[in-house]
Amino acid sequence: MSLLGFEGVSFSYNGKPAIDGLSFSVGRGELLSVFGPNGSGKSTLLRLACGALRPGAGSIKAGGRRLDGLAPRAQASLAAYVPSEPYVPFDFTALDIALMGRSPLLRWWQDYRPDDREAALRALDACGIAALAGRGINSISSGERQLAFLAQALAGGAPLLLLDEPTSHLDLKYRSAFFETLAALREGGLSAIVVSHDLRLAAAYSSSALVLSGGRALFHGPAGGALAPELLARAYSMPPEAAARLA
Amino acid sequence: MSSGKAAAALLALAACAALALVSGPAGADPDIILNIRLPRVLAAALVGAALSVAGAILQGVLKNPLADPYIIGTSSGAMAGAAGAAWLGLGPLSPLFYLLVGGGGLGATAAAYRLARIKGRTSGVAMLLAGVAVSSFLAALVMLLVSLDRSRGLPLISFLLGTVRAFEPAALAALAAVTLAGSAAAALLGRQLDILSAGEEGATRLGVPVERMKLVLFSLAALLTAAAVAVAGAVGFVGLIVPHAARRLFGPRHAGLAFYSAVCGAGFLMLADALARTAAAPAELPAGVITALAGAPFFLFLLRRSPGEDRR
Repeated sequence: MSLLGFEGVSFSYNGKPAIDGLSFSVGRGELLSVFGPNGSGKSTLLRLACGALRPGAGSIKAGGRRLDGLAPRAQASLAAYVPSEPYVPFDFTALDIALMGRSPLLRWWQDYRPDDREAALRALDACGIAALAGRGINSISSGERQLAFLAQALAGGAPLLLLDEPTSHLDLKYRSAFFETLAALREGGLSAIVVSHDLRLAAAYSSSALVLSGGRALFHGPAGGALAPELLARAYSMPPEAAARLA
Repeated sequence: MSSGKAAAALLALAACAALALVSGPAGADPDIILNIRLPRVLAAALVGAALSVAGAILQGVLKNPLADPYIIGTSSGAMAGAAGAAWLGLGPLSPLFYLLVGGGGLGATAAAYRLARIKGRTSGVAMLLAGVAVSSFLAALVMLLVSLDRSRGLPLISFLLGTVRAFEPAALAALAAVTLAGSAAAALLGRQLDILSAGEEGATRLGVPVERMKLVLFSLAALLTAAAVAVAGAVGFVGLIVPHAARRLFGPRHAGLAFYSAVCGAGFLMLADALARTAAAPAELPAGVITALAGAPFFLFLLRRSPGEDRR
């Protein structure tokens, strides 16, 4: 059964369509890459998938139920979001950041319990940064910070991760480390939707890919197929020769 | 929050209280300590605690290390209330004075909140700008009143600068209730405030009801500030620097920060007020002058050695 399914979903910002009749689904252990030029609807897709936006038409189903019928806390424990280049003004520790991922499981007056702490430490460990648990989030490298936010998403135990250009500002080492971590998590049964401009890297780790252009799906299928030069040339409006050299 | 650190902080607070109680031009006469200094030291402690907790809340919600309790218009509204009271011929011993000052503070903050609310959302930046605009407007009104009628305006000056005075037990009890309840509420909401301070979009996705939480937190800060300002005027810098110092010493998590800001703020203002009473005796300095004289250099020192918090 699919974890999350879009069925003919459309969404407009003030009358300007951002997503137009989109259908796809993500099953357990699947990693779906979403490609497309800026403004093609990738971030809108993620906002819809985590329930922050409601579809104007069509429906989004999570485990057979409509996503917009679920309480925010239930939505949060279904899909967890990893931001791009997170900025935190105060120097919380990496463990504090990971602990915040447990919030959807708590009532508003409750503080973190010992098992929340264990889950957060496990999540940091799964991301390979257990040794940084006590370090300030602004005193570690941006790659390590990104992994701390991945740990936050993991700590809540949501089966689906939504990642918005998670590696766009990282160097090669951390890009690779980030996707390797994702691959290991996928082995453990986790699913993810990754919006990325790292086409080749993301495709190599994905089971399927979705190429968006103007809010519509130009392509939806096995990840390798998304790298076809003609397809990319059409999606990103560039000459096919140039696309062939990029992909 | 480790119990060792909490005990140490409370011990330091007790030392500050003892020092504030015995210092003064009249020395350590038990009669003076009990009847004159004790209520005033208590008032200073409560005002310092209330302003510091309000500052900690606002710095967290607005994600702005320069936020202080006065940034969302509360103190200017209270000042306008005080000016209105002075204009009506009401002195600080009338209960109506406190109502006008407290109501002015809450009303100004409510106006800033309403002005900053666009399409059901109140962004931190809009709240800051609306607070600054409302503050400037009301401050100009107060200055206008002072210029038009100097005989009634001049007594306002010491209130504008922030002075801990003598007043009735009822006002002290009200301030104590607001300070204790406000600090406890801030500590209880600490976990959600942590998440909010790390980004609103992320907070929504972590299941925090962001807009409702901001309204609650702004109200809490405004209540704490209005109560403090009604008793002591606009004592500056306490609410700005104490949360920063507490954050450096005890970490950024707001549950602990609410507690430590209250303790440090109480200690700091007790000492500042004791100094204000004794430094130029028999004359009395406004406590706000002492906190700003001590606070501004300390704040610059923090700013110069602040890794991490000034990035972006």
